[in-house]
Amino acid sequence: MSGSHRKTVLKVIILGDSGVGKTSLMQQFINGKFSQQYKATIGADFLPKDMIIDDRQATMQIWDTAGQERFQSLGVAFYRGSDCCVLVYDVTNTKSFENLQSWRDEFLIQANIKDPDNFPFVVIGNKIDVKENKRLISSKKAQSLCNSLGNLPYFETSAKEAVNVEQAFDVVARNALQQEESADFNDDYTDAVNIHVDGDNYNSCAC
Amino acid sequence: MPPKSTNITTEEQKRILENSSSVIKQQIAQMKKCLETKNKFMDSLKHVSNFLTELKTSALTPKQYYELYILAFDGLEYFSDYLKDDKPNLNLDDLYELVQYAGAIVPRLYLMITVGTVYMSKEGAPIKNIMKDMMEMCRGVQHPIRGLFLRYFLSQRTKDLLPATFTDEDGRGDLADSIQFIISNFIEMNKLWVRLQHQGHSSERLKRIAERQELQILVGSNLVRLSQLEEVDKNYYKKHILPILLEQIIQCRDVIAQEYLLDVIIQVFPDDFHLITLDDFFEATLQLNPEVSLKKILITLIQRLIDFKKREPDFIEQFDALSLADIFDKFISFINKLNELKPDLSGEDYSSILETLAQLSIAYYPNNYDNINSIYAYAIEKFNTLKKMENNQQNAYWKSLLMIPVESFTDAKSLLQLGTTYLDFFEAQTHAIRTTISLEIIDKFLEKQTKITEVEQVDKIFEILKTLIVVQEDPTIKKLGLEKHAVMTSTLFGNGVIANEEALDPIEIVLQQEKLAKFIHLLYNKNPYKNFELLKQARQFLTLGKLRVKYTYPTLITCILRLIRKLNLIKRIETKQQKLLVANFFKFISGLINEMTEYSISPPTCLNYNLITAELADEVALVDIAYDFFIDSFVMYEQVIVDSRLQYQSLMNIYNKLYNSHKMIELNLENFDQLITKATLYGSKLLKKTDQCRAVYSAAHLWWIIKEIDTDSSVSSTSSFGVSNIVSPHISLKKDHKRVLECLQKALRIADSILDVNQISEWIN
Repeated sequence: MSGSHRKTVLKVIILGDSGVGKTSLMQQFINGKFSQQYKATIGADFLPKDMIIDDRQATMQIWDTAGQERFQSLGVAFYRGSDCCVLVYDVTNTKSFENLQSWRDEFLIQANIKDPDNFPFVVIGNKIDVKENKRLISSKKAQSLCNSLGNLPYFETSAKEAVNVEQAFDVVARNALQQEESADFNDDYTDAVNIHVDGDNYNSCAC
Repeated sequence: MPPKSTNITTEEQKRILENSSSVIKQQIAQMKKCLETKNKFMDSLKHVSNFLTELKTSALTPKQYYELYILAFDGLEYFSDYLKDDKPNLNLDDLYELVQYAGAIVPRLYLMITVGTVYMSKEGAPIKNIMKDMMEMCRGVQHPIRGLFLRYFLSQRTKDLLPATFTDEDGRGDLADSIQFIISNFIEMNKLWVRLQHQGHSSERLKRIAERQELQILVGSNLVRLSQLEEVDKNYYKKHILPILLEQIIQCRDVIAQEYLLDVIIQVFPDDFHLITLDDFFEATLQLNPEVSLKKILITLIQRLIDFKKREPDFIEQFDALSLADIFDKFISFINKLNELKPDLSGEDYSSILETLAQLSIAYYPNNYDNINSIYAYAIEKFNTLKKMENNQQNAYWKSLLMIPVESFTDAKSLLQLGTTYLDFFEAQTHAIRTTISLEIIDKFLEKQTKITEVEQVDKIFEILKTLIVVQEDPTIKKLGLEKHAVMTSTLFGNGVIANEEALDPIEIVLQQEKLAKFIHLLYNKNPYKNFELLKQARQFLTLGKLRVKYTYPTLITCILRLIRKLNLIKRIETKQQKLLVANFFKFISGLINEMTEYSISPPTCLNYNLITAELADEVALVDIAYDFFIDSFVMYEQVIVDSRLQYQSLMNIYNKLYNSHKMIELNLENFDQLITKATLYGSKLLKKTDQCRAVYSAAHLWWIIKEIDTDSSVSSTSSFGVSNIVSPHISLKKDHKRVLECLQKALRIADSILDVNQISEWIN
């Protein structure tokens, strides 16, 4: 709660097509490790990362998700309450780039974002370690998409070689923190309403 | 007791979800307040218990329950953070005991896991005991949905706290304990999940299936957990993990569980783990419930291995060298077992398994054609067995099996390496399928202009392309009608067979034949004699097309003429021996033209090929051959060109070629004179006077031929009759004043006989 001494929890969701490197990015950022082995992600789970952002203590709860829909059978209730959403594509995979917008739209709907225009997204083009001739999406093309989606911050990273991963997540953290602070306000408000609506009498019967 | 979900409407469920959600949110808010107030810790516990009570419901769908779970999870995260950070002096042992007194079992166990895992995170905690205790306690919830979520919570909360190495410090547990912990949880969750299928009314079977599919992820998460244990290597996995998992999967006998869990195993464990456990995996798949789709499982596995090879092309080489494991052979021996144990596997399933297997072989062993051959041997066998049983074998899946080499080989030439099984299987298919495949194959060759250089290759490829060449015997009424129509047009307009031909072939046939003609250009060997052999071989097949040779022979002729020009250019038509060889080329062309004539294919075209060939023969100084081709042209002119307009045009073409036959004039003037005499005569016998006049006038040129001397190579010898003011130096090849005069006089006489003098004066000028 605002004004509390408790450290802030920032909820961050990583989305993108299967195989673009979402898990690798998270592993690189949190553990500084990269594994050549490919393991598909099933469902969604998070890893916590403690951070200090401008003297403020915060825990980033980074949710890694399955890119394949069939591995998300329970739905995406965990989108709710996110403070930032990271959209990842693979610079060697055109389809993954083309799908960015639908990931974003899907997120806005499912997470029930009240002010979609101001919700912080960060776009990441991963796998820039590949040979130049394998790259299919140019920086320019990606940048222009990000501009058209509302000037989203854009990073090109290599989870494999730890290029730009820190920088990208630093912006994620800052934007998430900003979002958290503005959302806290709203939360207080809704809580207050709830208390009036449901009252205490409901509790007594639930015990 | 909460009401059974069976009787609850969707509306009610929605309302219950909203209600519970707001209770949870509100209780969490109150919990937070209490945690911030001194001496209110016990009150906060009460609020935690309150919101956890909402998870007791049986009224919601799994998705809805998950929403509540997520809310509660967030609340518990907050609570556990508080315990961890703000209560350093809290006696967790006592608290762990304390929470066991919570009234209802669901809240009690969630609280216990929350406190237990905080306890585990503390230094010196009796980790192994806590793990064991929590695992035991979770048995208390046997309701499938609630139990699955509770155990999922256990798995999520313990994720980073389980012992991660094989060294056991002070009996606090090691990695083996962690693995056992996760596997136990997996087995219990799987039981709950399978049991859900058998609950409630049998009329709700489909609803149960849907619910189970939503819940599958919770069960699968345990396998994910196992795959995340970094210290576990592939050998440990093979020995200590996979066998237990497979045993559990086989024993549960449940179709949904077996299909899903094998899929998850394939997806979450690394590729090299799979490579060393293929045998174990196959063994297990043979023991599954007969209703399980083996195809789905196998294709997932093979596809994964193919992707791996594409992603890490080098890894597999090292791997192969190490273990000498031939992946393809393993799959084949599995297919053998499969045929033995499940002979009733559907053609579709079988075919798609073979399909991915062929892709696997091409990805891993691009040069091993035996693999592909054996795949088609299996395909034929299955195809023939099914043929006896089913009426309809025109199935699209056989087509996609045939397409695999076309799609997957990078080099079109690899197709020529395939053995007879591919062809046999190809030939067993319907004409429609064969046509599609043939066209795709041609496209594949055309795409990169892949050349066919050997006679055996021509044989091989044309055995397939025969599909396009041989006319399908399909005497439908429609076609008969067309023929009748064609005959009518030809008699009406009197221009021979042209209209007939055009009317007969539908557009797709024409396009196919044109494609085939393009393909002929790919028959190429840099040795012109060998190249000739290729074309000769192709003819053996093309001739089967009968009337269709009109599309392909012109290309053959063009290719051979090109070869002759090439030989001339590199001065290989000098010696007697060489000339004899080239004579064969001409002879071959003559054969082609004759065959076209036999089918009454467009006479002007055939005549034109005769003349072009005659011209080239003269150019390479084979004047006797040139003479023969001129004679053939004359015969054709006399016998098959009946339209007067075409006669005039053809004759002009004859004059043109004769005018240029300089070598014949030099080497065999007698023959030449004979030809031009005959040709001049033709002119005077044309039907229309105007044509006669023009023709005879033009024939005059044949008797007065001059050759320019090549001072400047860019000056080509003129082929037009109208050139009168030649400036460049020249020599006269033939000067027959008398004949020229005769011709001109004759032309004049004819002109005179025509009434319109004005028009004629123009000609004479």
